[in-house]
This record gives sequence, structure tokens and C-alpha cells, in this order.
Amino acid sequence: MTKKKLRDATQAFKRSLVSPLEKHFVLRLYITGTTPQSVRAIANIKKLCEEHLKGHYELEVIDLYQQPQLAQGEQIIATPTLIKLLPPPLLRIIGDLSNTECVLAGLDLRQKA
Amino acid sequence: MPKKPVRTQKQLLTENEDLRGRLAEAEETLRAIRSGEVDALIVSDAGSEQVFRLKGADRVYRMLIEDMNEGALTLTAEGLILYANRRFAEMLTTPLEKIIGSTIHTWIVPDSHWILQALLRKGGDQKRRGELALTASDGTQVPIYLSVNRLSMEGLPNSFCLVATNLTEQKKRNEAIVAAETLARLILEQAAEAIVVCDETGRIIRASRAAHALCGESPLGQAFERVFRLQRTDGAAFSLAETMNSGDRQRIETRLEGDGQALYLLVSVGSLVGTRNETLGSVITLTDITANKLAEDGLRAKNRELQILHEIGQAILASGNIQHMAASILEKALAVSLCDLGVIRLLDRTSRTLDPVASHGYLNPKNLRRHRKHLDDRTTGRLLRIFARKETVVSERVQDEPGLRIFRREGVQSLILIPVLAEHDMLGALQLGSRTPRKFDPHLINLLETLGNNFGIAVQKNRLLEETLASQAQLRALSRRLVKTQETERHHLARELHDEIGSLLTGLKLTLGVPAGSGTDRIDARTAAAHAIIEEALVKTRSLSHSLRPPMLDDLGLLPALSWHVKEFTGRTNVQVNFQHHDLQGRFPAEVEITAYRIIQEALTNIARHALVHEATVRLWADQSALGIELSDRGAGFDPTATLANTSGVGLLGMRERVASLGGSLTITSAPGTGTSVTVELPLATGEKTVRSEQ
Repeated sequence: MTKKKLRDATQAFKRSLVSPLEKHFVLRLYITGTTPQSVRAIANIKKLCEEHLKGHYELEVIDLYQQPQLAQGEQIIATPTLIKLLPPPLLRIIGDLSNTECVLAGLDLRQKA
Repeated sequence: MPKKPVRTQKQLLTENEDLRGRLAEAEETLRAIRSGEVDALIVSDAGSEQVFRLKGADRVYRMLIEDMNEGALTLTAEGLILYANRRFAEMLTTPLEKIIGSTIHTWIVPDSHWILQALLRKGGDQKRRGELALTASDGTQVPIYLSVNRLSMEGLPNSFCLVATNLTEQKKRNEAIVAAETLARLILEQAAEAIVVCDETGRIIRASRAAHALCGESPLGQAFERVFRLQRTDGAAFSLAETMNSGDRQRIETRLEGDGQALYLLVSVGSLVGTRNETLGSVITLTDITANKLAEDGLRAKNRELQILHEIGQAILASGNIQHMAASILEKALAVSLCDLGVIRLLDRTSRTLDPVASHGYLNPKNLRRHRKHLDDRTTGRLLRIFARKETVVSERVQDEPGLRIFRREGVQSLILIPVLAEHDMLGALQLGSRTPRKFDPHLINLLETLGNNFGIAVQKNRLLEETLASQAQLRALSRRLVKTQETERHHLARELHDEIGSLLTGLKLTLGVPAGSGTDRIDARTAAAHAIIEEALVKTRSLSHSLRPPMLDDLGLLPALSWHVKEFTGRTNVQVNFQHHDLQGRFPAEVEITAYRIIQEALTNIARHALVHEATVRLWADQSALGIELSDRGAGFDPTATLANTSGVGLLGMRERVASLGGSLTITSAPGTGTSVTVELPLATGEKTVRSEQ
């Protein structure tokens, strides 16, 4: 684990202590450049996060064209793929995330919404 | 709710088998895709099939974007970053995954927000370029040049493509350039030297403040030689082009004629060379060395002055003659002042005239003769002004001034009059004239005044020396006369004793030595004869005694003694003396009486010896303050000055010494053929005697 990652994890932990009631989401979106699906996926997940998770989420967007090494061990077979790292369980959603209902269900955010 | 059909175990097993097969196929497909065994995927999209090549032609463009030196990104209209390349991430010192998906506003410094908004708002055809600054994760600000293009992407019609150029290095370079320019300007403004930068044609393109001050106007845009008309030491005009071509470009001494005063400038020329070693122009430094130069000149002038003063000193020491000295001083004065003519005149106190003692350069000797000026002559005007003020008079334009006629007649345009002074005593003047108009600088005036003073002191010393020598000669003559007088007196005494007293005593001895005859008559006759001889001897002895020192003078006073002496003198010399006196009753101080007696005795003797007359007048008078004596005759007369000077007149000299010792005055008026008058006044001081030396 790099120092930076360690720092990020520490901050996440601190945040979880500050607001224990709100679950902290760590999301990672794998895309490939500026393909239409990728672009749409970014726009959709950003909109969704801002609407439902504002203030307690972290979103990383990984362009596999530029950072292919970051796909190693993540079993990515297609892009866009969204992975919910936290809270458990780990979950993958493939596609441009335009079906908000499915995404919210996948992220276990139905009741909240 | 429909009832689910119940399947048999066999059905389930078959289904399971089928699923396993399909799973294996799916896994194999995924494996093949993941391991790169496929090069294209077929995707169903709205009923049509699309072929996605995994390594297509767009890869080249993608690589171009990914590896290019500028930051590239795509934005939604709201500023969401949909794409960013690694270069952009590097600008922000942030991992790329933290940038994509974030909003651009997070990374732009607050001051630059409005610029970005403006760029994003502009119409389609307008150029969308601007400078703004990013905030990197480490807090540094990154200046960028941003160009924005509208992009229409599928599903996102209002998006933008941005290219960001990092300006940090350029800014640094610009700052360095600005700093260099500021430094250059600072040097130009602060430098004490005048610094001028010229282009290759020799025109001035930059000039320091000192250079502006030097030429009094803005030199910019003008040819160097036109603004700075410099003269080299050899008199040639300074040429920038020639100097640039020659090897010698450093410390060239030049002269710049200014308003009234010349400046001395040290010029150094350097080439202004471009990056490809091409000559762009020249940098000229002008250092003002006028002060050094003037100091040097001053030192040289002082040296020359000292040299001249030394030579003058030598000349004065070597020469005891005022004329020679004056000639030598005048020669030097003319040489240092570069004058054409000059004259030195000394004041004769007796005649009150200014007489030339040395002159040079007169075209017409008459003009010099006319220069003999009487102090009381009003036309002497300007010349005598220096006697009133004891100051140097300079006239740089003789033509414009009244007076000075004689110098004008000699063609003099400028003149200077220097007093010849000795301890504030005006002895004369040094007058120099130039036939061309000129100025006399203070150094020169100072030097000439020093020459005047030196000459004055030399003249004074010379005069004192002459007076001392004359006094010594007179003293020697006096002492010789004293010895002679003494010898004469002794001789006279001896002869008187021998001839008169001696013969009488011999006669007496013979008279008494004759053998005594018998008879009273004979004895009586002999006694009577002896008696007569003794009587005569007594008379002779008394006369002798009187001539040595009249006892009557001590016993009875001046008048009886003189009366006796006049009578005796007439009896002896057959010169009739008309003796007049007034208020001579009573006694005078002993030294006055004896002096008066001896003067009259000496003067009468002189009359008897030299005047060749039979008559003389002696008058005496006295008042509270003085005893007056006047002796006159109408005899042969003589030249008193010559007689006194050639020391033959020891009698006169003796008289004068006697009078001087009492502080009296003696006047001798005489000329050959006109008779002689001697007037003496002896002061009768009560109490302390006032002693005053006769000049």
C-alpha cells in the first residue's frame, strides 16, 4: 500500500467516525477514454452521487487507456464498469449507468431514496 | 400468481448440464477477450450490430492526445471533467483518477473562474483562448494558456474540449527577460558614467541619465558623432565607426567643447553582439575625467610656478643690480603671461616719479619715455590706482576703457598692472600688455603678483644694502677725518709749541743764560726782556688752549665764546664776519653749545679756505624749541651732493654727523658760483632729548 493510499484510507476512517450514521461510499469507475458509454457513465454516476451521496462519497474514474495497470486483479472485462468498494459487499455494475433505478438498487440506496 | 411448473430431477440435471456448458462457454469467451485473443467485439445496439475493433485507427489519435506536451481534457457544460490526459494530471501534481470525474472549478484559482466562464460562454466561431491559473495539489499556482473548443458528443451535446499549455517556464523566462531589462535600465540610470548604446549604423538607441545630462537634450535617435563632438588628443575628430574597426577601443582620451568649459572624457567602446555572434551595435562608456585633468593641469602649473620662482630667486641672488634683476623678472613675467610688451617702473621718492627700470617689446621708444610718470600727474590715472589700492588691475579690453593711451598707442588690447610691493610698501609697478585680446586666469595673476612681491623685496633689500654701504663709507671717511684732524691738531700743536712756545722759551733761556753782567740796568733789561717773552708765551699758550677747547664756552657760554672766536677768526684770516644774534642770552645744553660752536668754527674755516671771499654772515637765533644757525657767503660755492658722496667733504660730513647726533637738521644750499648757505637747527628739548635721525 502506498503512502497516499494509506492517507486516503485514514481520512475515510476519520470521516466514518465523524458521521457514523452515514455510510461512506468509495466508488471506482473504469472507463476507456472518451467513448460515448464512458462519458455517459461518468456523467450519470456523478449526478447520482451528488444527488444521493453528497458529502460522503469518493469517486475515482480510471481511464484504462492511460492507466491499464490499475485494472490488474480487478477482473474488468468491459467498460464502463463501476465497482462499489465500500460499504461491503463489493459490487460491480457494467454499463453506462443510465438506469438509475438499477444503480441505486445495486448500491443498496433504495430505502434512502 | 402463476404456478411454477414442477420439474423433475432429470430435467434439472439436464438443465444443470446445459448451464454448465453455457457457463464454460461464457468463461472461455471472457478468458479469450481478457487475454487479448480477440481483436473486435460485436455489440448489438438497437437492433443493429456494431463492430468495435480493439486496436483501431483511432488509437493513433488517442496516443497523440495521451502523450502530447499539453494538457488535454473534456468537460461538460457544468465543468465535469470527462477526460484528462496524464500531462494535465502532472500539471496539477495529482493522480489522474482523482481528476477525471471531478469538476474543473476544483482546480482553478478563484481569480481565474470568471475567465473560464467567459471562455465557455463564447459563441462557436469566436476564438476561445485565454490565460488563467490552476491550483495544484501541492498548493502551487500553475499559469496556463487555455484554448477551448466546443465538442458535440453523443448524449452530451454541450461539452468542451480543452487544451492547456503550461506557461510556468515561459513565465519564468519572461520574468528573467524582464529582470534583465530592469537590470539594464537600472545600470543605465544609476551609472555615474555616461553610457550610450548605438545600433550598427551608429545611431543612439539607449542612453544613461548621465549621458542625457552630458548632451543637455535627448540624444536618442541621433548619430553618436552628431551628439558628442569629441576630439581626440591629436586634434582629430572621434569617429565611432573607425574606433569599432580598430583594435584600440579602450580608454581613449577625448575632449568635448561645452558651453564655456571643455570637458575631458575617457571613451571605451564595446561591441554589442547577438546570439549568432553578429554585431548589433556598440556600447560606449564616457567617463568624465575633467576634474582629474584640471587637477593635473593645476599641479603642472604649480610646478611651473615653482620652477619660475626658483629661477627668479636664483636671478635675484646672482644679481646685486636692480636693473639686471628687473630685466630678469620682466623676461620671466613676459614668458609666463605670453604678453608682447612690458615695463617695470620704480618709484623715486625724492622726485615722486615712476621711472622705468626695465622694458621689453616697445615698438616706439618714445612711448616708453613718455612713461616717466609723476605721481601727482592726473593723467597717470589708472596706473596710479594700484598705488592707492595696492591691488592688481586687469583690463581685458583696453579699447573700451578710458585712459591707457600709451598702451593703446602700442597696440595693446589687454593689460595687467601688478604692484611691486615690499611689506605693504609700494615700490613700483609691473605692467604687461598683449597685442591680442586675452584673459588673465587667476593662477597667472597669482604668479605675477608673487613675482611683483619678490621683486619688491629684492628692491627693498638692495636699497637697504646700498644705504648701509654708503653709511659704512661715510663712517670710514669720518674716522679717517678724525684721525687726520687729530694728526693735524697734533702737528699744529707741535709746531705751535716748537715754533712759538719753543722759540720763546729758547729766547728766554738765551736771555737768562747770558752770563750775568754787572749793573742793575742790564739785569733789569734782561728781566724786562724775559718778562716780555713770558708774557708772549702766555698769550700763545692761551690761544693754543682756546683753539683746542675754548674755556670761555664752558665758563661764559656760547655768545661770548663765539664773539671771541669771530674776532680771533677775522684777526687771523682777514675775513670780515657779520655776526648777528637774537635771543642768545643765557645758557644752552652743553652739547648744543659745543655743537653750535664747532659747526660755526668749521663753516668759517671752510669759508676762509674755499669761498675766496672777504665777507661772511653768521646769524644765530633761539626760541623755546630750537637753536638756529645760518652761515652764508657769496663765494665760490660747490656741489653739496657730489662733495658729500665722494667722501672728500669730511668737514661737511662731520657737521652732519654732529647735527644728526642731536636730532637736528642741516641744510646746505650751494652751487658753483652762487655762494653757499648752511642752515642748522638744533632742538632744545627740555627734559628728555628727542632723537630723530635725519633722512
